[in-house]
Amino acid sequence: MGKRSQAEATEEFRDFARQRTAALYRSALLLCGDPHGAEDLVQETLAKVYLAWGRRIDNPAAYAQTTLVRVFISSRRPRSSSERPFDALPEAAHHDADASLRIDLIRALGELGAVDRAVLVLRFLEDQSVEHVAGTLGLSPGAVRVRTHRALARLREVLGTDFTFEEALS
Amino acid sequence: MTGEDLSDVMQRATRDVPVPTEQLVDRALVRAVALRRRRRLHAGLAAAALVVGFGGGAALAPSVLNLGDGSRIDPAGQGEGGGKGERPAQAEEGGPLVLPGSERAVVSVDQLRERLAQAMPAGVGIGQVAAADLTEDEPGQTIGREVSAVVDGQAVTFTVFPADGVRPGGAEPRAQSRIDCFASGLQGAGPGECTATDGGGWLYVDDASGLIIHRTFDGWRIEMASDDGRLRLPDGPSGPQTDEQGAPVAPEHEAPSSAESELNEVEELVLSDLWFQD
Repeated sequence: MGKRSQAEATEEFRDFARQRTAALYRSALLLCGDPHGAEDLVQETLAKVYLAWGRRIDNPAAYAQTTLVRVFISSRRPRSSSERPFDALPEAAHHDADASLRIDLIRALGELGAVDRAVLVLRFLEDQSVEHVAGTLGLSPGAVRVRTHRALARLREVLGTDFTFEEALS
Repeated sequence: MTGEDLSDVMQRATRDVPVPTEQLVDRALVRAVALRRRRRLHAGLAAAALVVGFGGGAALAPSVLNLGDGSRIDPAGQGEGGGKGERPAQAEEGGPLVLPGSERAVVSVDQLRERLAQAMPAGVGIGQVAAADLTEDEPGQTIGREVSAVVDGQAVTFTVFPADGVRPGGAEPRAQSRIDCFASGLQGAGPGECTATDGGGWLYVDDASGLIIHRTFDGWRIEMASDDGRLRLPDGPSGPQTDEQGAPVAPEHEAPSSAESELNEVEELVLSDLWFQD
C-alpha cells in the first residue's frame, strides 16, 4: 500500500466503499435476485477490491464493477447456482411503490443466464457501452450485441404480452 | 420493450432499495482478512506459523465443527481432506449440497451469527460476520461456505459445510457422532490425522450448538462437543497463558484424562483446531 499506513489505506478504502456500495448493491440485486445473495456478492467484491487497493487502479469504481460481475459469473457455476437460503430471516414488510416492479424484473432476469443477466445490468443499469461491457465480460462487442438482443427478447417472452413497462412506469 | 425502457425500469426498480452500506463495508473488510490469509496459506507462507506455540508435538489439524443443526464449521477454512486418513475427495459432481429437511447447502450468515452469539460466553463480543461460498479453490463446485468473523477483536475463519448427503471429503456420515474430521495435514501431520489438544482449558460449552469455546494463548479456539454436547477436557486456565514477562507460552501437554483417553481411541470424536495469526 505504498508509503501510506495500512490504517490510512483502510480509511481511504472505507470512504470509497461507502460511496460505491449502493450502486454495487443495486447491480448485485438484479444479478442475484435476492437481497442475501446481493449482500454476499457486494461483500466479496469489496473484499477483493480492498486486497487490490494498494495497487495502482486507474478507476476504482469501474474496477469494483468489473470485479462484481466477474465474481457473480464465477459464483454461478452449476452447484452454487442451485443454492438458496433456507433459513433466511423473514424480510421486513417493504411496501414501496416500486416493489412489484422490482419483483417482476428480478423474476424475468432470473430466467436469463448469468452472462446475459450481466450484459443487461451493465448495459442498462450501469449504462456502459457495448465495448466496455465486452471488455468486462471477455466477449467481443458483437457477442454483447447479440446477447443483448436475445436477452431483451427473452425478457419480453417471460414477462408476457400483458406486461408493459410503460404501465409499470406510469 | 426497448433498451431504454429496460434502463428506466432497472433504475426505478432499484432506486429505493435499502442498502446496508456500513454493514457491508465492515463485512468486506473482515472477509478481506480471510482472503488474504488464504492466499498466504496457499503460498505456503503460513504453514510454519500454524504450529507456532502448540507444544508437545501435537498433530494439529483443521477440523470440522458441528453447529448442532447439521451444519459444520471448519476453523481452518480449508474445506477439504478426509478424516482418518481418507484422501480429500470432491463433492459429488452435479448433486446439490443439501441439509436434511432443507433446500439449502449452506447456513445463512444470520443463522451463523446467531449461533455464534448464542454459543459465546457472556461478555465476549461477536463482531461482523461475513460469508461467501467456497468456489474459488474448487471451480465449478461449491464445497462449503466460508465465514469470517471477528471474535473479541480477532479475526477467525470458519467453513460451514453441509451436513449429510454430499459432503466435502466424500466421507460417509457418521451416525454415531456428530463430529467429523476433515483434516488436511497442513501442518506436516499426516493427512487425516486428528489429534486432541487441550490448548489451555475449555471455557464454555454450549449444549445447543455443541460448541466448546475457549481462549488459548494465541487466540480463540472453538471445538466441537461430543455426542452429548460435552467434551470433558481438563480444567485449565481460561485465559491466555503467559510467562513471567507476560509473553505467550504454549500450554504444557498434560497427560490425557480418562475422558480424553477414551476420546483419543475414537478419533472421530476428537477434534483439534487452531487459530493462526496473520
